[in-house]
Amino acid sequence: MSAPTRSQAADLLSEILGVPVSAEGEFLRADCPSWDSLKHLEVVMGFEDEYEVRFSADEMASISSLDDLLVLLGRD
Amino acid sequence: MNIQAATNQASAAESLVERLRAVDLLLGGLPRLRDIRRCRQLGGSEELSLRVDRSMPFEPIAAQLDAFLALSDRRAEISYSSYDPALSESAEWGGEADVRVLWCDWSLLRGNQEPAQAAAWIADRAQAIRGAGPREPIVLINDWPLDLGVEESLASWTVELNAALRAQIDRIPDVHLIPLGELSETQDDFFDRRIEQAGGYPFSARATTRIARRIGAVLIPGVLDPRLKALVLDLDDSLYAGVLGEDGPQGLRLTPGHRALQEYLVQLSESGLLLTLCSRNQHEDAVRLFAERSDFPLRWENFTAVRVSWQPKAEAITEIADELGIHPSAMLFLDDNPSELARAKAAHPSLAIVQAAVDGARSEAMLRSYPGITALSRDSSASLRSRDIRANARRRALQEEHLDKGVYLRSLQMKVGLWDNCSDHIARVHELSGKTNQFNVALGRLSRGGVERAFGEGWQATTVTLSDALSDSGIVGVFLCEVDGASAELSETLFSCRALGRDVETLALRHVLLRLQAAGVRELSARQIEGPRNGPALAWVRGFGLKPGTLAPLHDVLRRVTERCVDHPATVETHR
Repeated sequence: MSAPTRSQAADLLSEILGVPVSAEGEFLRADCPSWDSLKHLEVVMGFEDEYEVRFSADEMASISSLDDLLVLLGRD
Repeated sequence: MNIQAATNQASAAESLVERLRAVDLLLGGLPRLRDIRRCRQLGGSEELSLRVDRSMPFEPIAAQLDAFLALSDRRAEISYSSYDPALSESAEWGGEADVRVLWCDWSLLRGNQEPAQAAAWIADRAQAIRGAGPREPIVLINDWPLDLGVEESLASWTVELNAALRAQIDRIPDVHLIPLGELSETQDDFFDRRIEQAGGYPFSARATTRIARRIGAVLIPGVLDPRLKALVLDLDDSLYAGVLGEDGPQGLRLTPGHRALQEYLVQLSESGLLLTLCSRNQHEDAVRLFAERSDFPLRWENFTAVRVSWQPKAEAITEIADELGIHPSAMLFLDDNPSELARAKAAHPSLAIVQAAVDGARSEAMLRSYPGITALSRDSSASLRSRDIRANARRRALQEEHLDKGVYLRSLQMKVGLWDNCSDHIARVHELSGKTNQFNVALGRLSRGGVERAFGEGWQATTVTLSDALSDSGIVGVFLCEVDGASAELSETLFSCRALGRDVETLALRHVLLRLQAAGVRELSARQIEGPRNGPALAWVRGFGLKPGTLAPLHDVLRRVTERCVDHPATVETHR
């Protein structure tokens, strides 16, 4: 599957976290209380399922923002 | 049609299509997470309280649960314990929940405890939960997936644990297994070490979906709702590929998927679900089809009722429901044609519907996980019930032949057995309490534990068996009466619809009243709850002077009951 647009990735992240995620500007895990370690699993599972990718354990651990997800999905 | 009516109709059609699509997406194969998120938006209206005591995260499963619960119109409100390998908060928690889950990371105990010891420990936890408050919740306990990545001794520990857990759980009423072992048998990637490393949750996304589906679509509706009683099955392009009227019996294709579907339907029939046929075809062609196609796992004899004709299917379903004596809400209609499903649903809004897929295996998968299909416990009277329902057609013919009801009843040569406090009947009483919708005065929906209590001290529990010249109906009725000195309350009065129309319920009530009188009871009340379909049962009990919320003199009630059944021709045997 092709890499998502920033807006598509923001929408998916918003759906999983249950909070608004703007495609404009940064969206950091550290600034989002609902993005805890368990939600992080849902984020990983959700993006892997949506874009048919598989992150390594190190990649999973490295995701701390919307931008990180976009980089891993091949869109920087 | 005005604009509002047209809008309503369009909206109903849209919601039906969404529902059919959700069933296909969620149950037909393993759904994608995006599909689950989409189906979750359908939403269930009834809130279900769930309490999870856990030693590992349950949240990834919880995130998917509402999509599956929506199929039985529910949504979950979940509260959690802290993480505790001993699950020590489970007995102390003071809240109330419809369902309690003991969610245990068994890998923490593997190697530290014998499997039997571990299973006994969690069974004690379940017993403690059930005994802790006035309301006995359903308890679900997980076993453990088969893990090919561990050394052999640890793998055999899991196999032994799962067997021990099943044995323990079978002994405790209203406690059921979340069978991770079984779910893992057909999936290689059940564990995901990356996910475990990141969040302490051991299961893969695919495994998580399968667990959520089992809990949300199968287990929770299975323990909280009465099981469906009958399947209404279309023929063409549903049970096989092809059209009988065009291809002829030999031209129809029994694909591997359709074979699997038919084999599963035979299993369901053996487990107590009635199979019926509803097809637009020539009746004689359908008879010939099953006679000629000996390769079909389904046989003509598997169908308890058959409507193969050109009449509208909605009408045929009404006739099938009448013939079987069950309400359409206890039936599921499988048909490949969405407009047939829509018309049937419009005529019978509570009817469950599933659109048969082109691939029979997908239809089979949808049925396997559809709420209310799976029997969570053994149905002790399945074969009796099926034979008895067939006999009812002959009873109706007899009744038409003998216009005088007394002559008709005598012709049946009925034998009624009245059993006082017979604990062997507890399982059947539990079944009846969960399944009976029409002749059910109190709609108590008793837990297994509640039934067991009613067979103990301070209660008069009478079960009723019935046979006649045409069939043995088995245990068809029950009266559970709580006795308190000179007063008593009839707290549960249930009769199978199969046994109605022969005044056996009145004859049996007389026996109960005589027993109460002998025990010194002078006043009686009857717990009564109005439900959607128990009006005739309420009218029956009120006809004897038992009004809601009032105590009636026992001798008055007994006099009225006796007047009603004094000439009943059945032979009665009492068992104490």
